[in-house]
Amino acid sequence: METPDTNLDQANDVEAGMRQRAWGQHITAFVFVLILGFFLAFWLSRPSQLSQLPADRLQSLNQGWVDEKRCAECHEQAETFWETGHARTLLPVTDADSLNLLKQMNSFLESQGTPTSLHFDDETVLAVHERDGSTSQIRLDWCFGSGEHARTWVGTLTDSNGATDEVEFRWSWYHDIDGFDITPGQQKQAGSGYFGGLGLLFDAPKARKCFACHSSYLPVESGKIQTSKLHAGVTCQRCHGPRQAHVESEGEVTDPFWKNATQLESIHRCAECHRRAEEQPEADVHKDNDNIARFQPVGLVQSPCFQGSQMTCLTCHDPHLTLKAQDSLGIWQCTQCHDGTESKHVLCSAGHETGCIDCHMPKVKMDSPLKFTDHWIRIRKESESSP
Amino acid sequence: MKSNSSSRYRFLKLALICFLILLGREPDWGTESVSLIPPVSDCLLSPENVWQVPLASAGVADFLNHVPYLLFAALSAVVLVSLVVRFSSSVDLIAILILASLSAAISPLDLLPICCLSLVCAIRDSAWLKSRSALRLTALLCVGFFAILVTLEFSLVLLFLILILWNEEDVTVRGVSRAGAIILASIVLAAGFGLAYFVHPSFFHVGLRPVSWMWMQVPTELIPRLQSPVVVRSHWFSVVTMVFAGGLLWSARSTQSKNHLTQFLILLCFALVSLASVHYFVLALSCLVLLTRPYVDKLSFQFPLRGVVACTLIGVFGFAIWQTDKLSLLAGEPAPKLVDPTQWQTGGNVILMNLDHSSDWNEGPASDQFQLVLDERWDLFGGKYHDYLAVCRDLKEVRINSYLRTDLEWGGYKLVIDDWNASILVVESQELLAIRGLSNSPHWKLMGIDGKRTIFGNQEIPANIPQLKRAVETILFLEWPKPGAEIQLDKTIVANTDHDARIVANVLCLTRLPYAGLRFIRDDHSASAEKVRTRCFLELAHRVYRHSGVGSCLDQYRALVRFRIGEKNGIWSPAELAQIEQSLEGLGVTLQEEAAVVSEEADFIEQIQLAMRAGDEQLCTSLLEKLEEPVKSYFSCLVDSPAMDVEETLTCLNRILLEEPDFPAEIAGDAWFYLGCLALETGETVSAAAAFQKSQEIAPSSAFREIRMIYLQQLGQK
Repeated sequence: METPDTNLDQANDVEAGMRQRAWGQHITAFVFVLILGFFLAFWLSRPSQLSQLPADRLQSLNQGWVDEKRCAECHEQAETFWETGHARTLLPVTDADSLNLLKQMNSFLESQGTPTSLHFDDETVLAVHERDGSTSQIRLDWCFGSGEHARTWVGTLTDSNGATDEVEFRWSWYHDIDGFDITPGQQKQAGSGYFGGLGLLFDAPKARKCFACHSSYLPVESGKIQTSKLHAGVTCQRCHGPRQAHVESEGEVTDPFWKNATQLESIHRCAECHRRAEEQPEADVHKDNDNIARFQPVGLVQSPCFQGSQMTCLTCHDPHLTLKAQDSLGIWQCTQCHDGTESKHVLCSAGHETGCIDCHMPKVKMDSPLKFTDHWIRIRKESESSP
Repeated sequence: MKSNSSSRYRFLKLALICFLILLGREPDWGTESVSLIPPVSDCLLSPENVWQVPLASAGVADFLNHVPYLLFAALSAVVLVSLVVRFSSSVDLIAILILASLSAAISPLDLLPICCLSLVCAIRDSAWLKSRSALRLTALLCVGFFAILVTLEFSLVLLFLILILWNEEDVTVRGVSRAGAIILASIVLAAGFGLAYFVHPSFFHVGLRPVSWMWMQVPTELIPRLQSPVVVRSHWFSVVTMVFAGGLLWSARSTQSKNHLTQFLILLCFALVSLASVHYFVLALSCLVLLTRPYVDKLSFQFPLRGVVACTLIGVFGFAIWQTDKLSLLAGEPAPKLVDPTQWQTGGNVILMNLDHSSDWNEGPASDQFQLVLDERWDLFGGKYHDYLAVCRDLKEVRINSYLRTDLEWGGYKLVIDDWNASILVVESQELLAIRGLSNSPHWKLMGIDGKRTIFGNQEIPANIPQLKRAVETILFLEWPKPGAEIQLDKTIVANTDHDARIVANVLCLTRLPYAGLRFIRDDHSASAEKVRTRCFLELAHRVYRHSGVGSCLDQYRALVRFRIGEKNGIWSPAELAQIEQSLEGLGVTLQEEAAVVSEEADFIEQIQLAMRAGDEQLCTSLLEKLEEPVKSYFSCLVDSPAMDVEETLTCLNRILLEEPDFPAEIAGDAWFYLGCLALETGETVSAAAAFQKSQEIAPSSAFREIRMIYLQQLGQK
């Protein structure tokens, strides 16, 4: 027999149970939404895979970049490094060397009676070409080239999508003749079109490629080269990577690459700009093709000297020094393996004891007034081109 | 009887909603066909001994590869309604939301797995089979086996099947306790998967597909279907309804369920899977609905259901009618939507930048001629996608040669592409940056464009040459039409809807063929077409500037004024505006509405020209008052050109130049040049050539000399 009190208690219990259950529902629903929310927040904030891909190293070198004047605080070579061709391979057009050459060029162009002239003011150099009463012009912005071989000027333009194009000026300065001539790769006859008389118009990918080999940090956004931020020239951190940690640790953090690089890795680092052999079409790699002399690593890796030893570019070249200061034309490198005092060494079959370079690595003339040392070290036949 | 007919009526009503939504999704529902089973994956980089869907590789079910869309829509409607039809009519609102959400997102490949899920539930609920446990178990296993035969997502079906068995409260087989049965089932399952791994590792990997893509971090840039539906705008509706309906279902379930934590975790898993990717949205949501279905009847809502149903029906009917391609439907013969590469007499390896398009190349005649380098089977290629993505990035940026990457590996696409011997490269037609980049490539040239894909061919592959030539002829004809010449457009460009025409126009504009682009959107005045049109004018302005060193008072002015109007109307996104600003830098102008800097010393003609090149509408209008006739009328035509059709501007300019013998010589050369440009834009090439020649006679050394010469050459007049 249930009393009214018992019924009341039971009703209270049921009500409490329902309340408890309702709370339970609210809590689980809350937890459910919370977990969903966290999941979504996590999932949607994932960086895109594209942004996680290894980037172009040249575009990332600003991360940890340090002012390169600080290198000279500890490294003696860094004091004179700025005179090297690598360091000066890209200059603003207003650099004194560049302006000096351009002024000489203007006199040259005038003396030759060419329809092209240069106009200078404080900030800019304008190249102007006149043809049949109409004129075309381009502002020259940069001077490319180390000066060891040549210097060429370019003007930059923005295309309809905002990317950077460039016009390679038609006239260059050549070290070997200490004078001016048509830029390598351009026709003797001026081309047609608005820029035809001024040079060659390169689209954005080509422009980027030019700047990539002549700078140490190259920020590019949607095809536009951020010229105000780029670090011109091939300087310390292009080869050694960002050195902020190195400087802050007072030299304790070092660049392991050059210590541990294999022969091929070492060559390839230089070949990033001077061209890797794999990139040269196979059909072009033969002894009769003088043009590959321009791409030193391509020739070097074909050489028996390279294949039979551990030699790299650094065996003969010290990139920290100017070419003049390097003893790259000597024979000390050759005699490490071809020493007459060592009975086991193979010696020159022609009986020469000096001047190895002249026969085995002659300079090869290109179409323009340019000569390149052929790095395909070999015994040449009479029929092959000689200096 | 009444109850039967009412439930039949309800079923039909829901199915009709679902069917109409599905029709609305496909404008060509009358002629389109779809494939219900995934195609055989046979890629260049495929590993050996790959698991394929058995029915697809056996070829015995070819009809499943060519199911009419109409049939697919009808079947989907029936199957989807079967998921919710057991809800009581009091919760029809939830049913409609779920149906709308599922039918808006379902893909043909989801249909058979959902059939399996639905069958599993039907078997579970069958009163007849209830007392025949052996037969019931056999039926369930048959469904599981069928799922393995027809879909790559069989593991979801199997998981669902196990959950259903797990939830059975009376599962005691010959005295084995529930706990024992669970342990036994787990051991059997683990052993089965272990065995599968040893017998056919690829089968095992397929089984892990629903989760493996997450830990493999498959790039959604390559497989956009793996994006979360939350970030895909077209799926927002589905997500919102799913969350709403899911909340209600959960609420219903939680009042009934006993195994609270387990149920909670299971449902949570399905909810997470459905929100994680578009690919699994429909399947996971279906599982969620089926698992909560038995409890929903306890919910009761008082909604004005009849009104809701009526509105929904009217809405989806209108949606279906609006979306349908009426012309194609009435013409009887379907208008092609895509260019057909099988007509090009070429073949070879294909690089897809959007792997969601894999089935276009893995199915039908295309699969005989072409082979994908890799496709969307992440269970096979998961580890290779990152390298593939890096190559795609290099292709887009035209990074041909080696460059050092931050991981000290070499970038650059040339060596990889040579290794793959790639013949065709397919980019999504809306991937503007990629198309622009590739238009600069010395290796890849345009082969075909449609609303979905832009196809580039490797010009070093001899078999591609005929189509590459045809494509060049076609697009050059569109840019500079020659009287009397004929082209076969549909072998290179297919754009049979306004939407596709806008996309094609944008692609042509990006490849520096603005006149060709403008021809595709001549009569389209939608906001999207306006954007493309403005871009074309900007491209033209750059072309003139690049070849003359001065801005065009016609194109530059039209572009700037339209950009500013578009900016005020909010049609440009911030990213687009930034890109436009960058582009305008090249013309020496800015999008900001600043008063043009005009020298007071210059005469009024020079002043108005400067103002037009700066896009200063206000100054132009005020300067017009200072000009005398007929110069005033001439500039008035140009100043009004952004608001006029090109034909009107042409007529206006034509009238002035022909009727005014005293038109000043110093601007007549430019005026005839602009007239030629307008005539070229309208396709009147004879008039265009005549106008350019007149301009040349009047002003042989005008700034427009070079560009005028190019136009005359292209029109065959030089």
